[in-house]
Amino acid sequence: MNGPQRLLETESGSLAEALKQARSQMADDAKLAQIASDLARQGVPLDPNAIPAAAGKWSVGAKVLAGTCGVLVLVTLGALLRPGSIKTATAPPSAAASTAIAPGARAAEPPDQPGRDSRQRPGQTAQAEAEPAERSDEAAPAPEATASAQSASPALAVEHDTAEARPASESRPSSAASLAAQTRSGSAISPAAPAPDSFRAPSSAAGKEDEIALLKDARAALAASPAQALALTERHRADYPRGALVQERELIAITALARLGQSSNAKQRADRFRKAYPRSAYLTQIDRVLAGR
Amino acid sequence: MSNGLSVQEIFDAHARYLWRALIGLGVPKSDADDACQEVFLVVHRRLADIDPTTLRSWLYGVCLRVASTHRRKLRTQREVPVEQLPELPVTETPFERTAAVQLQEELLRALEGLDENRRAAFVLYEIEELTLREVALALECPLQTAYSRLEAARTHVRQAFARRGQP
Repeated sequence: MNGPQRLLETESGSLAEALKQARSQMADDAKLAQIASDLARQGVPLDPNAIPAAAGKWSVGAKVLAGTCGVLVLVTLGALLRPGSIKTATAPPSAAASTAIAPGARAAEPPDQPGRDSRQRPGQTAQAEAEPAERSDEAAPAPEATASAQSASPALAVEHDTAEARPASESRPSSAASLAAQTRSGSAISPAAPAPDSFRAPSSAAGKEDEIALLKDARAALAASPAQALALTERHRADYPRGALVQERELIAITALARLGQSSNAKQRADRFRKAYPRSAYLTQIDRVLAGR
Repeated sequence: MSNGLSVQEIFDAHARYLWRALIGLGVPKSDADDACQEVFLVVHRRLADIDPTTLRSWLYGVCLRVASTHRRKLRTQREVPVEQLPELPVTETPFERTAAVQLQEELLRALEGLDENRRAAFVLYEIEELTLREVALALECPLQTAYSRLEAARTHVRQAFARRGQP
């Protein structure tokens, strides 16, 4: 028995939105690496270096590659980047985190395995885990590259450190690092990724007010002159390629395109947005815009 | 290892979801990492006993116990965790973060009004997307009981959201 239809399928409005939000908030890669690292120190056979790619996103080849090149990559990056830039990936686990766990853990053990079937072959595990793997696919989007403090992969560290001037596609310090970086972050820095430059969130504190003002103007222009609004979003794209409000800008741009009657352009841009931000709450609004509501 | 499972494999496939479930089950976000570690310490100790066919419900069953212990500890300590709210997707802008936080708060508030078993049924079914059978296994109760717990929880959560109105 699979049970009744899920609420997310039957409900709409704020409850559906809240459930969507709840489903989208999984532990990020940095957190998983930290947890794995703490567990490894307690003798659990886990390799923290193998964690920081979303489960289900790695091919076997990528795992082998990262496993064998991991040390080389970290050393290379360590030499090339400023100290601290890959701290989240390599920092030792905090003492607080590792000391606080022991009590109570044994109480959590289930008394016995329900419904145990000893005839089951190991290979059949794959079926049981198929669903979570699928879910992790949808939850491991390119825009993880926009995480600032939570960045765990070398790729992200590279992007942050070179954010001042160079576009992401030029920020690869060496072929080995770049290869592993691409492997770990999926499409995040691939040239084929949707609008890579425009979809990077972190920005410097300076100019933030200007950025907000610019988008306020763009939004205000939407009703009277969508063309003007679109032009302002283009200016935002040029001036703040890594701005904090890229999603807001994209929403305005898509709305402007739709109002200008450029529906296929609006749809294309919305598709890129969806790929880059599959969990964004803006998607509801974007869908509404595309539907002409 | 006769069942062919490894901690690494289980961690890779499930850890990010179990972490999320722990928060839904009432572990404050500031404790979620520790709670997740506890779950995997149990996995490590009991690896040989795990039946791969019921792995998912077994893992969530462990989460229920860990979360329950944490909540009890929290009540005893009367400690206010630094971070009450679950973590949000990292890609959000400040604008939408506010809206998302409000929704999270509403959902968590609604869940707080449920007893442990109903809350577990709701979280495992509606957020973790377990099947009802898996929910029953995790809760170690008959299918029908799992169903009625889920229904009661749904009614409660629906009412809580209806009272707050649509955005």
